[in-house]
Amino acid sequence: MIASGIFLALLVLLLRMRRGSWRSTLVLFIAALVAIALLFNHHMTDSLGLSF
Amino acid sequence: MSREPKETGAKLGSIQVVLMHVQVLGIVGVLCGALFVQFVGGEYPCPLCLLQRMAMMLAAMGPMYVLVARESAEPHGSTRARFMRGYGMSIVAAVLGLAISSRQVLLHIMPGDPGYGSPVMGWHLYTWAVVVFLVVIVVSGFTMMFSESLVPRDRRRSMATRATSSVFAIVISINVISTFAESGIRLFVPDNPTQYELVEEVESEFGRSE
Repeated sequence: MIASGIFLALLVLLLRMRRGSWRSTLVLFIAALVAIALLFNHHMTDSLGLSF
Repeated sequence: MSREPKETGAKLGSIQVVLMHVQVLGIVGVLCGALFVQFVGGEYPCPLCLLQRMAMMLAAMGPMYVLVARESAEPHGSTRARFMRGYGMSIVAAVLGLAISSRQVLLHIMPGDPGYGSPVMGWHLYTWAVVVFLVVIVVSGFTMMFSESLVPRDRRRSMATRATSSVFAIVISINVISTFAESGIRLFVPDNPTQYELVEEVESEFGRSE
């Protein structure tokens, strides 16, 4: 559900961009970037049993 | 004499507009290839595959932003600032995608490891993803280096831009639905998915009621 939520956020990002809302575009871009990085960290630490 | 560089800049700007459409559609094409492997090849994307798709989408948002911002009359920095901002977005997203795809390559690098999924043209999809992210970084870097000549000056609304963003939106929507079907009501997609969890959950629910 988290992954599909991020895809949904990317869709919202594209639609906001098309509407010309630049500030929310940048906020959503950075939020999506952080969410992807956190999810990547979760899968990386989970599969190796590591913790950073 | 002074008009000649301006005309050359306008021509290069128009070529750059075409190239930005190609950049977005190129990444969308790669994502369509992944969907083809998923639905026609019957392979389930793993969590890292999905993360690479997300990073590719974010990398395509850069040129998409420049294309859409080009048509806007709202003052959000100069045209060149928007141009640089868009390609900066692409580079940041591609670096994240490169980290994710390199991680998956390293997971399967041991001799004798069959890798995840079946190879396409000799390489697995995550290896192709490394190539895609490297290309995005190199192309974005060169585009920023020559931004003075490449900044698009034409501000007319373009049907091609609308069509490109619509195709892009459709591909993202398919990913929203297929990923939800794959994870079901679980928070995370399983490490080695073997079925669409949502379909199984619905089938088991109907089975119970019968």
